[in-house]
Amino acid sequence: MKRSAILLLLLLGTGLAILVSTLGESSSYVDFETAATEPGRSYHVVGTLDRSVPLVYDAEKDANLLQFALVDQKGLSRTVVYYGAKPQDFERSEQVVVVGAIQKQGGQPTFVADQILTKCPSKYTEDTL
Amino acid sequence: MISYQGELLWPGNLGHGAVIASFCAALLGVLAYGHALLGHKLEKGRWETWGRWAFGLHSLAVFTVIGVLFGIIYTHRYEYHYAWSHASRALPVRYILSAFWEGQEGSFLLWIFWHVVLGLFFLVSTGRRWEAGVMAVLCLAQLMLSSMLLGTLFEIPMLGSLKIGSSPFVLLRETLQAPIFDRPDYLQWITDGNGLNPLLQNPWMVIHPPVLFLGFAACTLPFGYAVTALVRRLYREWVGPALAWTLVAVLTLGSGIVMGAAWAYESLNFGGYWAWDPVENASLLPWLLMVGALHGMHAYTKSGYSLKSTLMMVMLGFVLVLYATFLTRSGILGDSSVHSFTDLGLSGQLLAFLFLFFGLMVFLLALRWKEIPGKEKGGEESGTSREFWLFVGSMTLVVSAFQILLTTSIPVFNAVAGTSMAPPADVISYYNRWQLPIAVLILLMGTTAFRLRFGRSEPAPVLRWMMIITALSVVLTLLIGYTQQIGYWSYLLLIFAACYAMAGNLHQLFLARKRLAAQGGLWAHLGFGLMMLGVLVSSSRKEVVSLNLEGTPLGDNFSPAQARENVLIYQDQSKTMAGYQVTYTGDSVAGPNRYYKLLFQKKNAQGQWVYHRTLYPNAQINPKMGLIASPATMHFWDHDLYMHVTQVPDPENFEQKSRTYAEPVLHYLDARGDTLMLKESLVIFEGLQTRLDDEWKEETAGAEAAVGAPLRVRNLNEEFRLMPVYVLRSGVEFRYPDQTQEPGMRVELQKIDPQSGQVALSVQTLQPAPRAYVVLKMLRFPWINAVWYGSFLLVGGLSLSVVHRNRQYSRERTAD
Repeated sequence: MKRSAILLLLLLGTGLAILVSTLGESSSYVDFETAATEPGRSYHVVGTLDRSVPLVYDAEKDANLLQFALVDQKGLSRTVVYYGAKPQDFERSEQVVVVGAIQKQGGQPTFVADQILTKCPSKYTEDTL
Repeated sequence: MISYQGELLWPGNLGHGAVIASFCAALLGVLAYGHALLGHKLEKGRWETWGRWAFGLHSLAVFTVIGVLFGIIYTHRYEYHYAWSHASRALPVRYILSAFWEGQEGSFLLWIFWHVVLGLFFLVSTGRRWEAGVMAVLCLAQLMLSSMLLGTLFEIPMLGSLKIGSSPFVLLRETLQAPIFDRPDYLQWITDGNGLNPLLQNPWMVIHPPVLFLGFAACTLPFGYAVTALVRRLYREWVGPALAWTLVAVLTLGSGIVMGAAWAYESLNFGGYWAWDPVENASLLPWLLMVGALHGMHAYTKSGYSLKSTLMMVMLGFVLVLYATFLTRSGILGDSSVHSFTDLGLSGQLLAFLFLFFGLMVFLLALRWKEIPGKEKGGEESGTSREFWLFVGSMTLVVSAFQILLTTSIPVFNAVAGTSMAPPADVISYYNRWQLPIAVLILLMGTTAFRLRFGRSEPAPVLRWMMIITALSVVLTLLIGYTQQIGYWSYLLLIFAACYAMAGNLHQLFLARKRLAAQGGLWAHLGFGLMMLGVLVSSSRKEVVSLNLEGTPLGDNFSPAQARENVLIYQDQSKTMAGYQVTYTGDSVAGPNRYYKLLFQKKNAQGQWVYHRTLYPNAQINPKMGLIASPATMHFWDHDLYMHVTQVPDPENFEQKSRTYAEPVLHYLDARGDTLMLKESLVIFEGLQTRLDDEWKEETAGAEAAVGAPLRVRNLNEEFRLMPVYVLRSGVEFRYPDQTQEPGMRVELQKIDPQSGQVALSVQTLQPAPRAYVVLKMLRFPWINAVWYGSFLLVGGLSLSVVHRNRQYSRERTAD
C-alpha cells in the first residue's frame, strides 16, 4: 500500500472521529423538564428572568451566591443557583442561557448553573433617541 | 416635506456617490482583468491598461468614502446615523478610529482599504504576468465588499424589493422613527451621539482590528495566484510569488490574533487570553489553513510534491476568511458567543460572497484536476524526506482546523437543520482534548523535519539526533512537571513536545549561527514551542487565589465546578491572598472609569507586613451597560497576578442611603423604669419624670401635662443621655424627640397610658452608613510570559522569513 493511501485513510478516519465526537459531545438547548429527566447531566437552558420572584444576591452576605428564577421557553419557572458573583447588568438581560444541571436539593429540583451567559440589550447598538 | 435646518448634506451625498463609483469601478476592473486573464485580446491596447484605470478609479473612490466618513465622525455630524450611533463628544480623539470601525460598514471599509493598499503595492512591485489573475480576484472581492455599503433598494417585479448593502451615510432621521423629526430644527436637540462601546475604548482596539483585517486582506492575493495558476496552467511558477504573499498573510493574521488575545487578557475579564470563542476561532481557521499552505508550498518548490493539497489549502484559507465574516456578521452565532453583532440584514449577501468564491475554487480545481502535476516518476515519496513530513504536518493543521470548524459551526447546523444542538457544556476542555494531541504532533514533526533533507535522508544520524534531543527533553519535562506539579500524562506529553521543539530548534539555530537572520522558520518553530509550553503551564496551573471560604455552606449534594471564587473586601479592611495582605483603601474616578485602589503588602524577613505595590483594577459603571470591569495585573518574571472587580456597590444607591433613619419602631416600657435591648445598644429608662428643668419652661407653659422620659443609651464604649418630652396643651399633643449623634438614635415619647402604667417610645435608628466594598476575583497565571515571548518569536521569525523571502525573490527577478 502506498504511503499516501495510508495517510489518506488516517485523515479520513480522524475526520470521522471528529465528526462523531462533535455530535456525541454536543450538549443541547433544552427546557427544564427535559433537564430534570436526567439530574446531574449538564444542559444549556435558554430562558428569561422570572421577575415575579425576587432575585437574591447580597455581596455583603455572600459574594458567591446568586439565586434567581428563570422561565424557560415552555414557560416553566425554576430556581437557579449560581455560586459566583452576579454577572454584569444581569437584571437588565433580555435572555439568559444557563449551563448546568438539575440537582435535587431536599425534594425541590434546583438548577445549579456552572455558567451564565446573558444577552443584554446592547445599548450601543440600540436605535432609540 | 419639511426643510430641515442645520444639516450638512453634501458629505453624505459625496460619500454615497463615491461608494457607487467604487462599486462600478470594481465591476469594470473585474471585467477588464477577467478578459485579460482569459487571454482575450483588444484591437488597440491591452485589457490590463483598462483594469489599471478601473482600479485606480476604485482606489480614489474608496479613499473618498473613508475620508468623508472619518470627517463626519470627527466633526460630530450627528445628522448621520453612523456618527450618532458610534461616537460621542466625550470620546477621546484616539478612539475616533475605533468608532470608525466599530460598525459593520466601517469594518468593511477597513477591509476594502487594505485591499486597495495591497493592490496598489502589488501593481507597483510585482504585477507582470500575475497582474490579470490576482487583480481580477481582488476586484471581484472589492465588488462584493463595496456592495455591502451600497444601501440601495432594488425593485424586482414579482419578488418585491431587495436591499443591497447598508450605507454608512444614511441620515439619522432616515433610520429612526421619532416625533422629533417632525421639527425642522430637530438637529438642535441632538447634541450628542450614542457613544462608543466602552469595551472598545482601549488602545488594543485601535490597533487590533486594522492588523487583523490586513491579515484577512492579505489572504486574497494568494487566492489570486492560485486562480491564475489554474486558469493559465502556471503550476510551477505561481508558488514563488504566492509564497511571499502567503507569508505576509500568516504574519499579519497571526499578529492580529495575538493582539486580540492580548486585548482579551489585558482588558476583558473572562480571565485568560483564549476561550475558544467562536469569534476567536473564526479568525484562527484561515490562519491554520494559510500556515498549512505555507508548508505545502515549501514542499512543492523543493520537490514538486503536494501541489493539489497546497492549491486547496490556499484557496480554502481565503474561503474560510469569508466564512469567518459570515459567522461573525450574520448574527447566526447568537447565544454561543460573548461577542455581539448586530444583523444588518447582510446575511444573504455574505452567503453570496462566500459561495461565489467557494464555487470558483471548486470549479477551477475540478476543471484542471486531472492535469495538475503530481510527483514525477518514481511515485513513492520517501518517509525520510522533508517534503513528506511537511505534507503530513500541513494535513495535521487541516485536521485541527476541521475540528474547530465543526464545533464552531454548530449554530449553522442548527439554522440549516432546525436542530437545537448546543456546544459541549465544557467547551474549552472539549477543544483542548482534541487540539492537545494535534499540537504534540505538530511540535514533534515540525522540529524533526528541519533535520531531514528534501528527497531522502540518511536515517542513522537523524535518529541519533532525535535520541539526544529526546533524552534532553525528557529531563526537562520531568523537571518542569515536578516543579510545577503537573500530574496528567497528556499535559506532560505536551510539555515534552514543547521542550523537544525548543531544544531541537535551538540546536539547529546554533548550527546555523552564521546566518541567523535567514532562519525565520527555525525562530518561528522555537517560538511556537515556547508558546505552547506557556499555554500549557499557564492554563493548567491557573489558580484562583481569591477563594472564599466564608459564606453560606454549600450543602452535601453540591459540588459546583465554580466554587466561591469571589472575595469581598470592605474599605480599609484586608484579606490575605496569594501571600499578600490586600487592603482596599478607596476609589477614585478618572474619566468614565472608577479605579479601585488595592494595597498589596508582603511579609518581610522579620514577619512584618511591608508595602509591596498598589493595583488599580477599574470598572466603568456605565449607565447603558452596567458594570464593565477591566483587570489590573502584577507582572513577575515567572507569573502574573491578575485581578478584576466583580461587584461594587452602586454609587447612586450609596449616596441616597447614606443618612436615613429606619422606620420607627414602637416599644412599650414600664412607666416606673425599664430597660430596652436594641441591636447595638442598651436603653435604660429611669422612669417618667414629671418635673422638668427650666430649659423646658417655654414649651411647658400653660400645659395640662408635661412629662419627660430620661434615657441612658449605652453602646459598646459610650453612654448618652436623652430626654424626649411629651406635652399636652389645650388638648393638643406636642412631642419633642431627642436624638444622639452616635449611634444615631432618635427617640420620641409617643404615648403615656396611665391605666397600664406603660409608656410608648418610638425609636428610630439611623441606617448604618453603607460601607464601601469591592468584590473581586484574583487569578495567578504561572509562566504566562512564555506565551507572549513565544508569540514574539513566532511573529519575529515570520517577519524574518518575509524579509528573507523578498530579498531572495528580488535577486531571482534581477537574475531573470
